[in-house]
Amino acid sequence: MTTTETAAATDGVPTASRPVYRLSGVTKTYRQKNRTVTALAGVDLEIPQGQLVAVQGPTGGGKSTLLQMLGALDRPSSGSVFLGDRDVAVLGDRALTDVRATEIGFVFQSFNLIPTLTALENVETAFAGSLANRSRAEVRERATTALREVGLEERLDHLPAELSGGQQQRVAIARALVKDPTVLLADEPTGALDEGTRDEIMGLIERQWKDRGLTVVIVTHDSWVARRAERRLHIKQGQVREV
Amino acid sequence: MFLTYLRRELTNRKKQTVIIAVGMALAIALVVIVSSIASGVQSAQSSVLASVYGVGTDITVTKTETPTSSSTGRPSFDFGDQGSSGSSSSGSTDLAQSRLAVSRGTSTLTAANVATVAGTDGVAAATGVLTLENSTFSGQVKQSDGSSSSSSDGAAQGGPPSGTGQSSTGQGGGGFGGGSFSVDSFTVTGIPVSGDTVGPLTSTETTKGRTFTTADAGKDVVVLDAAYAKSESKAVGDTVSIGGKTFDVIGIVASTGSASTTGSNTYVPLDTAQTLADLSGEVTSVYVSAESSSDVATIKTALQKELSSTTVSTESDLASSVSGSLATASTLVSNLGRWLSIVVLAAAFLIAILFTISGVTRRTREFGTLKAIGWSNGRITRQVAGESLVQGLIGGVIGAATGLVGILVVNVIAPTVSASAATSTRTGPGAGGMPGAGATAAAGSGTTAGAPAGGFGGGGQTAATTDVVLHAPVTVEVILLAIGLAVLGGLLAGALGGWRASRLRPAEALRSVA
Repeated sequence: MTTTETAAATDGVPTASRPVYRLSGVTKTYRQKNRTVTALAGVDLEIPQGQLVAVQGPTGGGKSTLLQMLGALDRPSSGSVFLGDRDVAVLGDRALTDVRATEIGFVFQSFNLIPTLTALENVETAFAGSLANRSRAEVRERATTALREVGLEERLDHLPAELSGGQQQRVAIARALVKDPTVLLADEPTGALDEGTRDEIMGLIERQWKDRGLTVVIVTHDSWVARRAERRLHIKQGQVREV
Repeated sequence: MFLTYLRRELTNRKKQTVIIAVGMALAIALVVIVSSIASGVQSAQSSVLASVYGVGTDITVTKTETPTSSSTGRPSFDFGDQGSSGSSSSGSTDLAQSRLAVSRGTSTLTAANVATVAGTDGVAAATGVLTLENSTFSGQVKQSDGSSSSSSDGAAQGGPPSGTGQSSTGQGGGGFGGGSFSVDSFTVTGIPVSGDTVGPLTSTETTKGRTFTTADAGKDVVVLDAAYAKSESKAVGDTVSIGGKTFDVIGIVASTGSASTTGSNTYVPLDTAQTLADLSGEVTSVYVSAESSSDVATIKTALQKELSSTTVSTESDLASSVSGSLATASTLVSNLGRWLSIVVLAAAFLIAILFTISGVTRRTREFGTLKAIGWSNGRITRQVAGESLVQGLIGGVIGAATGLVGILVVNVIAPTVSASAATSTRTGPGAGGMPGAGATAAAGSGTTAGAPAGGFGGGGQTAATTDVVLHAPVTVEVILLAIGLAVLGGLLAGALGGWRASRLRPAEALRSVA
């Protein structure tokens, strides 16, 4: 995509379908044992606002690297990654941190809750960056509401170890959504769950997607999960193609 | 969130908190105890010096005797005229003689010297004192058929009575076989009766009777050290024989410091002492107080220049002369204690740092997650540093409390250490022999043993030995030091742990999950 086309797309697309992500020529290489590994090889990709996207592919194909680019966790070796109108590739560390704090919600395969904090306190950790100056009462109220929305109002004071896998993932989803992010990125969100719980969690994500008009990107090995998405991408040897 | 997270981490990761806190506590307790004992030892040294030199003495001026071919420097008794000093009966001779002289190894300064010292710039007050040694020889010598025993120079030939000790070593008892005599000696210090602001009596308090007034000038009156008075069973109103004259006891003084004795066994008016010892206008030491402590070095230099043949000692010079078990304690504290503290402190810091870094490594996923959801490096560093700081503080508080208990134990035990403050460094001739005679040398009272030590050929050093109760004081500085070190240890560990946490890239942290 050329610069002219990008500008035209930005200006011409209605707000509702304006791309949240615009990746252009994104390449990511790593040095590994005296050789260069190319994780992403010139990826061009647009993801419109409000889309539910599933990313599949073999291990080592570049799924995690793509997720890191989308999640502003890393910068590409070359190319641009626009999130809204900000190019993540050229942002400084502080700005990247603020992008993660305000615009991106993360859900991980292993839930990644802080083991010493209660469910409520885990959700409260999401108020970071420019959101960190909210009042204690507001933070508590919003965290409580978020946990109520995922059906855990009875488990506010439970530690992660006292919750089931499904409940922990619900807390993680509440933590990701409590700050009203632009994008929800989920890395194998059902990978550690049994089938019944998997259905529950996918149902919860789909409901939030529809209710909030969220843009959701799910990296998954599970074809059942992928088939629930509006759009399916396959990534192999650093190249992305539509399925 | 900071405090909640901090509290949860400390309470839910008890093992790490306890290990770091205990390590820090041990180190801090050791530092507190060693610092306190070091302070106590220093105070004891000052106390010993004060007991010898008085309070407020910045400099002392003394003169060391220059050995000459005709002078042995030690007291001698002359029994040539037995009519005056002994009596014969049924084959034995009773001998008794008292002698008052300047302590061995010490020479005298003139009144002009005292005036010179007093006139030196920066000197606030100067007091000359005359320290003498009263030696009494008494006993019975059995006469034999030998031809030399009744000779007037028998003592010199036979050795013992002369006390010179140089030519008598290893000689046989000869005519003195079966005799028995004793030598008693004590220190006599002549001090001005005008109540000077500096001098030996400034570190004493009058427990009975009174000290000198100007009306006592030239009179045969004496003030006794409390310990000496007790050992000799003397009280105010009794009499004491000094240099063959009878003195009235007018008062008893005791040390105001932790030392058990004062600097001398007895105190008499200066002019009386000078007359009795035939040393008119002479003194053995000049006690000097400076107008300002910053002037001490300058005054010392000026006095060394003015009075080239004298020994000018400042308080720090004198501190190095304190010996005995106090000096051993001082060495122990300053060497072993200090190094032990440093080693244990370094170990505690290392434990805190290693555990913090290991904790950060173990929590890679946790910190990676926090970074992924928008926590800044600074916030994560503050969180880690805060945890370490509190762990260090807990250790510091426990350590300070343990240290205070340790100090309390030391103070309850109140160990007594002995100390000698040497006032002269000259070493006398070799040991003298007392062949064939049962001799006892009573040198002062039990604990005031050192002063006349040279009487029978031991070391020629004149020293005052005293017992000091070692107190370990608790000072605000020590507590602040403990808290400061704990904070420092916590901050150091927290800074390194936080630095390591901040270096974690969120992507790498998440990759470790996979």
